[in-house]
Amino acid sequence: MNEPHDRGALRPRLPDDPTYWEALAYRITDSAEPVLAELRSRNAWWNPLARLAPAFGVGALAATLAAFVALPAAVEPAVQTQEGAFADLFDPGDEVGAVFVGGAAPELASLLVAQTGREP
Amino acid sequence: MSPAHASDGQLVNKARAGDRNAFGALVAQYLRPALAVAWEYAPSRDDAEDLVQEAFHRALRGLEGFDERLPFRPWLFTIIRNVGRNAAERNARWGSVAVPDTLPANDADPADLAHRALLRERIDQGLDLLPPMQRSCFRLCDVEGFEVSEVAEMLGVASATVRTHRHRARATLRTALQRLQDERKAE
Repeated sequence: MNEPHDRGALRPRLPDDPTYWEALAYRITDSAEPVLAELRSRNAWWNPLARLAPAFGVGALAATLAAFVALPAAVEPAVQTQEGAFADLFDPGDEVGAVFVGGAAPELASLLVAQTGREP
Repeated sequence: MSPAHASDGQLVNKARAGDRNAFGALVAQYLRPALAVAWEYAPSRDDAEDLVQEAFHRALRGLEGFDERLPFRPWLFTIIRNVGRNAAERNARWGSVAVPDTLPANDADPADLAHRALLRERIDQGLDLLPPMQRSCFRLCDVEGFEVSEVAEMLGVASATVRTHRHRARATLRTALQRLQDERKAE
């Protein structure tokens, strides 16, 4: 053992006042707060996840690439299929049906009910 | 479980995760012996307090590498002694001024005061003559009232060593005080 301090004197006893010890303990604990905060952040719950972040990144990249590879080359627009099915509901000679199926705006007269010559 | 009733291992585990209450409980538990040891290396109580603070901070930073299955107390005292030695070396290198720890009371009998002052002077002289280890063992056991086993742990030596140093210190001081008593009788 290295020898303790050489200054010899019969020192008074350690203080008996509990408030002295409480104050000193508080001072030491309070001044350690930066170290404690550093330890808290180092031991936070997300840290294990953060350590796995590179692995997560690689996995996500691989999944994205796999999705691109697995996708079909071209997909027919769903609207076109629906439109085709809708058109099939009408007879090719149906004028009213042609109004709904056709891309052009219908003539106003075609939307009117044809006159039958009879009064209602 | 509250920090006051937790074992050292539990407190160490929590403190290394940054738990302020756990660290505070460790500080409160070991503060008194820690200050007593630090004071052996420091010229004044203020300096001893600073040493204790530094030692506890070092211990907190070192907790990550500490095995909580091992006893905390000897590990802490090793840190305190190391901090104390470094400080003592610094003080020896740069010099330091000791501040008196107590002031004499004003309302005591002058003759009694004079006798006490002489007695204290002789004890101080006797202590000054003691090797540092004997002085520390005597002071921690007989002045501060710690058990021999506690002092052994605080100073990092065997209990038998403390007993031996304490015995020799007492013998030296007894001789010094006996001389004082003989002088008074002769007067």
